[in-house]
Order: sequence, then structure tokens, then C-alpha cells
Amino acid sequence: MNERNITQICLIITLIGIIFFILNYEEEYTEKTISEMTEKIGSKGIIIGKVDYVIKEEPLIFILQNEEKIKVFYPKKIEIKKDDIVEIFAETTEYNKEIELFAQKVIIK
Amino acid sequence: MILYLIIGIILGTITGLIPGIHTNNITRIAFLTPLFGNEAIIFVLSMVTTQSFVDFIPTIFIGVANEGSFEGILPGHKMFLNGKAHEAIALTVFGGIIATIISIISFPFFVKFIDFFPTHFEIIIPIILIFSIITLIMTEKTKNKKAIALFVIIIAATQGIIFKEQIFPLISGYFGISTLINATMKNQKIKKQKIEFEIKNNKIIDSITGVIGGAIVAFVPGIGNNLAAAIIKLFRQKIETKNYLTLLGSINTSNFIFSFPILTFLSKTRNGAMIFLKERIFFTEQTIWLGCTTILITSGIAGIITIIISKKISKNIDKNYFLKIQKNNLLEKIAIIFVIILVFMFNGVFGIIALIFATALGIITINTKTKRSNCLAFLIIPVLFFYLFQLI
Repeated sequence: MNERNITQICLIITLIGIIFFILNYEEEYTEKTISEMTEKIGSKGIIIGKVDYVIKEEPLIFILQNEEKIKVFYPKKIEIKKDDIVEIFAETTEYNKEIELFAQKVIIK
Repeated sequence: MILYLIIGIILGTITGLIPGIHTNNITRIAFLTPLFGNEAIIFVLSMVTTQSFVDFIPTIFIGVANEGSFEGILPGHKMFLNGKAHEAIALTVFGGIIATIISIISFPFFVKFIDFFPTHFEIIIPIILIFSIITLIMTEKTKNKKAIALFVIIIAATQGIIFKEQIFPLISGYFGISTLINATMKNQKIKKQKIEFEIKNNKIIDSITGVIGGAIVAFVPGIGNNLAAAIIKLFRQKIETKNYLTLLGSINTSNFIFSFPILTFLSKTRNGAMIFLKERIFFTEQTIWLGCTTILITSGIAGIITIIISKKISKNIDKNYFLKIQKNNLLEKIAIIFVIILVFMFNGVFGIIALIFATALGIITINTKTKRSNCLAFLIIPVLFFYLFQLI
């Protein structure tokens, strides 16, 4: 096996990877409403809404209002206040028999 | 997504080319970024996979130790001095590529394996380590050399315990600077670098062995790439230099690949890159698919990048300015100063002290013609203590 053969194997591996990537890739987060998110535990989505009430600052727990209200848990510190418009990237989880959102990222608009 | 892949590959290449800079340093910076989810997977996996390939370039060409590949210094630098550096690099790339294919195919089996064997290693590993130490001593040819090997093992183990966090200075001393000083003293000349090579297909066996080693490294705490390679070398007494490089390339890559299912299914992390992912992603079936495809795409690209860089360096080595540097062993002297600066930058004065002691021990093994692998006791003994204390 010479340099050319190794390069060819490298190219084939990359191509196989790209094909698998194209066939299986799904957009991880699409914009959803709270009701769409709460249909299934484990749903992921982007929700834009208004901060209704900040329960705790660190870790951040707040109530998000879209067309309905839901509790959001964000394990990091970020300064938000009531009436801020936020965009959150989250997953639906169940905690203490209550459905809430676990946020991976919170952006203040 | 492509942007994160490109950034990951570029950073992986940089961290691989500069000894002492590990992907852990970059992931420390990544923690400051808002990267998460798919972006984080693509960025981190492309970076660590690329680094596992490029890692061997400084190790083989300048004989400078890198945390993931220092066992490659001696065989790799030997091939470099004989004008076969490009072939040595190609062997590690070959090992890495085969490891990628086998590791990805064996993902489901590996997952079943980690489910089945949660604690058995706690008994097996100390036995293997004790056996390795005994084998290190017993494989020395004369009684005198056996006594020196025992002395080296005791000193290296003591250094490993005292300088616990100083892995880079220690490996640089044992395997890097001591080799460079020896080359300077002997006034070794580098032969003209050959670009053409032929790798025999039987090297696939070493790649498969490497994948098993990589899986163990990813799974068992305390066992690193180099320690696994050294143990395999001990059990396979007559392993050729070329086969050993293939084995090292395979272990280095498969270790990174297997650390991803370990994180996904067991939530356990063995390196900074995986700690970053643990904090930034939700684990789903999609995560595993994305991880596998990122590794496949990146391995191919990283293999080609490594071959191109190696070829460029090999061609330039034969040019006039390099021959001027070669007079008076200037290259080795520059490499020694470079390592000292890196050690001081990353590990401070304590690191320099560790480097001096480790270099002294490395030189002792060279002058007494005992195996340099005896210095690996700096890793083996502390790991052995770790397991023995767990059993108690």
C-alpha cells in the first residue's frame, strides 16, 4: 500500500461520512410553540417568549410565556428580568411530575 | 455546521503540531463560547480526531514529546534519522484510518461490552500492571542490566508520584530531551528523506490490536495511550518498529473515538473535550449518528492533511538551509530550547525541575543501554497504586 492508496482510503472514508451525514442529518432545533413542545417528553425546539416571572437566579428558573406558560430551568447564570423577550433552545423534561423545559441556551432579544 | 467542522480541523491541526498544547487547552476556551448541541459535537469531535492524527508529526520529525504519542519518539525518530520519516507518519495514518473504520463498525459491540463489564477491570488491570513491571525487568539480558532496570523503575515511579501533574515535562525528559542530547553528543546525521514507501497489508493486524488497546484506554481509568502501547509491546516481544507505529496510530485514534460512546452511554469522561460535550449536548440517537459521521469525515481529511504536511516537511528537509542547520546539530539544540520554553510556559519552574530529573533518568537508560520503557514506571506505579487502593 503506497501513499496514493492511503489517500484514496481517506477520501472514501470522508465520502462515506458525508453520505451518512446527508442521509441522517436533522435540524436539531426548529421554532416551536409551548403546546407543540409539551406534546412529547424529549422534544427539542426553539421558543421565543416573554419572561413572566423569575423564580430563582442561579441556577436560573423562570416562567416563560408564549401562547401559554411553562417553567424553564437553565443551569447557568444569566441576568434576565420580568418582561424580557427571550429565545430559548430547550428540551422538554419531566421533573417532580411536572412538565418543564430544560434550556441549553437562553438569548435575551 | 461545515464552519464548525473546518474550525475543529484547523484547531486540531494546530494543537497536534505544537507539542504541549492539548485539545484540553482549546476546550477550556470553548467553555467560554455559547457552542452547544450539534455545533458542539461537530466542533469537538473534529478537533480531537484531527489532533490524534497530526500529533505524530512533531514527535517523529523533531523528537519532541506529545502527551498522546510519546511512545512514538524512539521508533519514529529512528526512522527519521534513516530518512524514512514520511513512511513513519504514513504508518501512523494507516493505523489511525483502519482504527476509525473498525471502531465505527464495532460501536454497537463496544456498547454491549461496556454494559457487560462494569467492574471486572479493577481486578485485571493491577495484575496486568504488576506483570508488565516484572516483564520489563526480566526482559533485560544481563543481571547487571536487570538491577539497573529495577533502579530506573523505582526512580521513575518516585518521580511519577512526586511530579504527579507534570506529565509533559516527564515524558519530554525521558523520551524527548534525553534522545536529543544523545543525538547531539553522537553528532548523528540525518539521511536524505525518502518520499516513496510501501506499507504491507499485514499491518492491519496491528491496527486491530491498537483498536482493542484504544477501547481499553477509553474505558479504564488511569491507562493512557502510551501505557497501553507499551504493555502490548511487552506481550508481543518481537514487534517491529513499523508495526509499533501502526499500533500507536491506531490506539491514539480509537481511544478518542471510543471515548464518545463512553460519554453517551455511561456519562463518563476521560478528557477535557468530552467534559465539554457532557455539559453542552442532549444525548439522543441523532447525537450518536452525528458523532459517527463527524469522526468518519474528519478522519479522512485529517489523514490527508497529515500526509501532506509530512510530505512538505520531508521535501524541505533536503534543502540547503536545512543542511546548514544540521551542521553542529543545530536542529536538536533548537528542539531542546523549544521544549524547555514550552515546559516553562505550561508547567512553570516545578515543570523545569521535573524535566531535569526526567532527562537525567532518560540519559541513564541510554548510557546503560537498558530499555527506555522502564521509565514508563512513572505512569504504571501510580496507576497500580490507584487500583490497589480501590481494592482495599
